[in-house]
Amino acid sequence: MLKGFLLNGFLPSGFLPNGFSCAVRLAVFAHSDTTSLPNSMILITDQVLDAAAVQRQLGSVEAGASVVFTGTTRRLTDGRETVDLTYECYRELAEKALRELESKARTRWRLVECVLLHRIGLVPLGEASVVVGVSAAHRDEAFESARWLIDTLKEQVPIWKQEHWADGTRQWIHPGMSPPQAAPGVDRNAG
Amino acid sequence: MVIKVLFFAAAREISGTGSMELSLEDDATLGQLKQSLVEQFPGLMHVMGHSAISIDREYATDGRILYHGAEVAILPPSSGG
Repeated sequence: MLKGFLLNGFLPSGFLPNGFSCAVRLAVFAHSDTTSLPNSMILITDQVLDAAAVQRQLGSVEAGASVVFTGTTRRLTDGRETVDLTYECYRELAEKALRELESKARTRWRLVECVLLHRIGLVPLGEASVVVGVSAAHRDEAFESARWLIDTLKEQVPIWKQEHWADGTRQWIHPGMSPPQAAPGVDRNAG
Repeated sequence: MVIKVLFFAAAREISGTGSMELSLEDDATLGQLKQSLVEQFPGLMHVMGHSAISIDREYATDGRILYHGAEVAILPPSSGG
């Protein structure tokens, strides 16, 4: 069985709006023969997301199927090269929205476990910004709910991505809003 | 009354701040607050037209009456994931 701990900490202030200090819960996963996690976990963190730990957490004798979706920072978007991404959130509302997503998913599908993790701050190429994990008795429920959860999360949860392009510019991504919001690049090595 | 306003992503970039306090007439509406913000930050008009707004972490529309101490957040279209 898997054992989990939630630790309290504080985000570095660099990417947060002025005057904000967001409490962060860090998920620490370890194996244990005696303790199991609660059957849901919602977490917004500036720490690396561990999809393998999520996969282990989904395991249950009640579940015949589990799906883990991992969204990672991609190098190319329509031919433009990304150096890395920064995410920010409205933490209180984002956590509430994630809880509501889980609740809605559980009314539509009979889920055994549900895990929704989102990373904020800098997310380098190849690293995960989001992990959605579900387990259910059968694969249809697992596939459908995971797909709905990630699609709805992207659309509704107040979390925002800023592209750091290889040409030095930065751009907040706001689907449906034009023209794109571009800003001059900042020398990352400064300071 | 004094309202706390939070800005995120492009809205934060345009306003140049993550949060500010705004004094408004008692019983002002959310629509009046938005108008006041656009007067102060004209560049916000475009973003505001696409943004959702929350009052104390509940989504709200322009007709809502504000109250002293309310926390209003400007939420441009989400792009998590």
